[in-house]
Amino acid sequence: MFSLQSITGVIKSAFLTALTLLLTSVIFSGAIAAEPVIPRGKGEFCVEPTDVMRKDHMKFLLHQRDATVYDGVRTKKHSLNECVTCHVQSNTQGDFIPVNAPDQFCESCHTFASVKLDCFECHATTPDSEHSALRELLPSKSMLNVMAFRQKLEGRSTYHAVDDPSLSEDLIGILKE
Amino acid sequence: MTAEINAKRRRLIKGAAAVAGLGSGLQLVELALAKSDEEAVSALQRWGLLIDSSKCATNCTACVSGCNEEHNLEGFDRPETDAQWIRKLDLTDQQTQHVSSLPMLCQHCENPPCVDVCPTGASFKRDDGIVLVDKHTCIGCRYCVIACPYKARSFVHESLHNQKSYSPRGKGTVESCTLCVHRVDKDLSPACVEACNTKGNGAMMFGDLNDADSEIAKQMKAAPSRQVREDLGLNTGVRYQNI
Repeated sequence: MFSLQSITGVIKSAFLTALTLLLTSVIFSGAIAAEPVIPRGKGEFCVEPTDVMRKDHMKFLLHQRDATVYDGVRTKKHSLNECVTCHVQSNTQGDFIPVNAPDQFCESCHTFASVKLDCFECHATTPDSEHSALRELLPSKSMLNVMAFRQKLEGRSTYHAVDDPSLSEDLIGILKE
Repeated sequence: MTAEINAKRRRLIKGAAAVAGLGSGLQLVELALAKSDEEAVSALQRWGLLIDSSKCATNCTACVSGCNEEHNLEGFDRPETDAQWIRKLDLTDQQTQHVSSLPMLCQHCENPPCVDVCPTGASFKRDDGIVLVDKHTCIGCRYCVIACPYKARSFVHESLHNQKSYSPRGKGTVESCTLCVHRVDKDLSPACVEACNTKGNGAMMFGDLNDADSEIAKQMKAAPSRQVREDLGLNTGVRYQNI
């Protein structure tokens, strides 16, 4: 009986030591969420100083939301749509990437801070126009199809915009990024 | 107070327009009349629709598709639960077999039952008479869906994507015709009215019921119009002619 108790004690203490070691390793191995990626918005400044926005953007949005829904006030300064328009990124095809995609402006920071982002259950995650400004510079999808078709006729199987000599170096630079 | 002054100012400008009123001057006045972004809506306006059933064709659904397109009301092939902000109804007179057609949508009542029953205050009437749902406070109880005599409200059952920036919609909330409030705030008419005038038969008219000089008020003064279920005393903002 005595020996059984001591065995249990040994197991218990071994378990506790293992747990402590595990926790310590987790804490000191830097296993915390990656720093958020915060792409720059368009333009020079945000509508409020950056430190104010970091802390209080939700207060501005809440105030604006009631003013818009109940009173039809549609000023742009603190409107969620304007946040999205300014902070949305485009991919190489010139299509908008939703602001709540994992590595995008809103979501990356909210993930880091462990705060659930509810806005985009209902609100649009990209501006309304189907394509960003970059799209206007690039050949349209139908144009790409025509080019691909021509390439096929000439015996090459696929069209790569990056290899197209008719596109400017700047555009190819953007495409490669 | 500011709204009152602004509305007075608008009327003054409008008066001036009536005097000046030709050519490019009209365009300038239209611009001057638009509500500024900072300005709150006021009870001096009451927005409404006048629908002439005699012009509304049984097989035409221009208003419905115009609405669906504007607000991106995508269906899930489940007609019983899919969102529908306008329905086309065909009414047959049992005696004469005459069929008339009309679009049925939120009637933007002055005394809306949906607002009466809402437990959170999410269902509300804007000062200019437009009845809306504040989806931030809607808990999806659907009392309003039951209370509405016009079956005008829908409940969103599914997660949605690709919403329009001006028309946020989401799972678990109730929604209905907003009278295209985002367009009205820019002095445009609702998408259904525009669709009816361009692709349909011009059966719908939009305007300010409080402004005696507006086209809609003149029409309503000149010819009789009816409220659907006028016995309920809701004083609807949507009125019908020839039904």
